Amino acid sequence: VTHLSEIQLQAFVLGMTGPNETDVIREHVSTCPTCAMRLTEEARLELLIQDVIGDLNTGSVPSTDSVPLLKVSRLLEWRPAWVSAVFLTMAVVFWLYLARYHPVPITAEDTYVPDDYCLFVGGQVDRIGLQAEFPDSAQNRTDIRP
Amino acid sequence: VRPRGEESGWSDVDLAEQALSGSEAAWDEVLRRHRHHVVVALLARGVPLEDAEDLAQEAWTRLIEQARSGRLERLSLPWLAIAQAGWLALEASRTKARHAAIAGAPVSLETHPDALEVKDQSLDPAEQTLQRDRVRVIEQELARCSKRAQDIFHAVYGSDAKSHADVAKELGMSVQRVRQTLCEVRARLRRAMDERVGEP
Repeated sequence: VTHLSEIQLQAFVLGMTGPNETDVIREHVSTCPTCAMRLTEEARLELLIQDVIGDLNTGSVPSTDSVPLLKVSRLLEWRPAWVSAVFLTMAVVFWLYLARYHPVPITAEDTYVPDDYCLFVGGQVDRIGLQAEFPDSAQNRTDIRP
Repeated sequence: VRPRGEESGWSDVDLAEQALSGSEAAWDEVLRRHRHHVVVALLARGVPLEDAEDLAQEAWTRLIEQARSGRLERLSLPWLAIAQAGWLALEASRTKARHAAIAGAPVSLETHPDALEVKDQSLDPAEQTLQRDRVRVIEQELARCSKRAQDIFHAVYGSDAKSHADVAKELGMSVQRVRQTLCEVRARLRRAMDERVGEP
């Protein structure tokens, strides 16, 4: 029995055979279990190669030689986010610096207190008319009105 | 059968959109480009060639009918057709097993529908180990091939799979040379798998 050659089987699986050659292969494998099995094996190899190459291209099967923990290229993909984060951090630090070392100057206008309010030392505010009971702090009473 | 993926200018995504919008020319191109892939996928599942060609034809017919009736929202090429053909193969296998049971004939493991399902889902641990071995051997053997051979393989089998003619043009060689390289490397992979799969 003359079997199909490996080249013929490969050519068929790769879609490289013309109509006449395809007919010959079709006819042969319909009566030859050996070549039918070989054709199945060639088809399985074809799918396997497609899977392997596809995985290599999408990077789902990384090389086991050296896999860096952190890829610079991956970080660069997030460049806009990194730049935004740096600017935001700088803005917060600058604002904290201003708040700490350059408090907003108090002017007379800023410290205007209505006539019926006064400020007790310790930060407690009371309305004069209510006669709040702070006997001990009476002498510490400070009027900050200009 | 024509060579896989000849030039048409359309990507698979564009082609799928055109086909879903009802373009006959797009469907012709889809069939020309992917019909053979579906047949090969069925062959790999152990479906005989003649049945594989019939089932592939039936799968494409159903997809086209679904698209025309507006029941197909997305067309992933060629995976949807392969899935449809696989389902049809399973149904055909079950029908054959039912008929055999009704006729009183013994149902072999090969024709039993459950056997096909187990094979499809690759749930068999031994089969999974073998598959991992095959993948390992192919990766190693491909890495040993020449740079030019690797370029050809990546271009032909990559995510944006190109036709042999496109690959030849891109790499500056003849179509015949591209195909010869594919066959040589495939033969090399086959030998490596025969020799080394199953080795520790």
